[in-house]
Amino acid sequence: MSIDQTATHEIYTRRKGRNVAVLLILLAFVALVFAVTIVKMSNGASMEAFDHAIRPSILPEVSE
Amino acid sequence: MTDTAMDIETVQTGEAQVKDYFALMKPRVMSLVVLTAAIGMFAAPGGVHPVIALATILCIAIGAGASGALNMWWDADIDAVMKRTANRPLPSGVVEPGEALGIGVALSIMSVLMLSIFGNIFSAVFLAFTIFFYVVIYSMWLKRSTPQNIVIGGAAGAFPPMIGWAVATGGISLESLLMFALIFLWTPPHFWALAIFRNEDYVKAGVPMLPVVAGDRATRNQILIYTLLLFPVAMVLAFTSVGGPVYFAVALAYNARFLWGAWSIWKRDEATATADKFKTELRVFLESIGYLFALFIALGIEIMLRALDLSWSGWPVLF
Repeated sequence: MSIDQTATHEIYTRRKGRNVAVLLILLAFVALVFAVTIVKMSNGASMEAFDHAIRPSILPEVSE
Repeated sequence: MTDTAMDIETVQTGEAQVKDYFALMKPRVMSLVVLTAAIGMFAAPGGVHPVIALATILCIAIGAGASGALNMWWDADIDAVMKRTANRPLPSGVVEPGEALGIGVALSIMSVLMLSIFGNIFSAVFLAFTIFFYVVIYSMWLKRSTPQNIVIGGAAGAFPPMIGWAVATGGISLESLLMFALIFLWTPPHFWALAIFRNEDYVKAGVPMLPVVAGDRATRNQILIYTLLLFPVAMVLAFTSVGGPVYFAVALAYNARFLWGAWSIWKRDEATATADKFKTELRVFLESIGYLFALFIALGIEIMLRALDLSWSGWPVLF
């Protein structure tokens, strides 16, 4: 069975289009996570989570 | 068929383009979800940082898109026999069923996880429940088993403003429940107006829509009943903390038009409708889309007026 060169080129163009889209989505995702992190840290949000050990910094504040 | 033609067909199978995957996520439904979730979020007290708002609305939109993909994966067989849905990516063969399932599951998990980080746990659980409700309760269970499928399934489409509100406040309130009720009660008359003139499609696909099971007359009655129920819900929202005179005026005008449309549908019978090719039903269906957009945009205007300190302080907030 012969391989048609035009068809091969066409499929590469499609794949390239998809790969570029995936790249752009990943870059946008990284930028979004970075931006959200900056905003959350600027607003003083607690960025620490449970880690099997008691840490005073993540205990809820008790009003006097 | 020549060898060359065969080669092209073999090579092209499963090689969908980006726009085909995008179509899988029901972009028109997503646009409504983005609007209602954003309004729910910005209308809530407290305010959300613009970056957090963008990130969380994106998560909600992707969650909605993921459930759209899963719905198309599950319903590919009936989509193929209905005129309205026959050229969707799965029935037309552009996207493989496995791809749709994979994309749907992966994006569902991603959107819920990211919403729990960007927003809060409550809104993420709410989004997960919405996806589950749309895919399992509506698509897999109710759609093919009861003529009330649209009524109960409509809840899935009504959750986004509540999720938006939950992102901002971490909870539920009367305002968010009313926004839910607005979309919930709007869905049946909107869809049944479509179902009346797409009846043949649903009969062919074996979907027990109300006109198929209960008949044309019962559907016309139900459209009027739901539009009557919708009216007070839409108006009460004007007298809560998210409403105001702009919303009141828009809601009054659009509800009057929707009620007039429902009344016109109720007055007609199948014979009259068939004679003029369901002109009124089609008009009301299209108007109903404008109705929901208009009411939520009016809520958006109220939010902007409050932000600019231009809202009327004398407006009665009764609820």
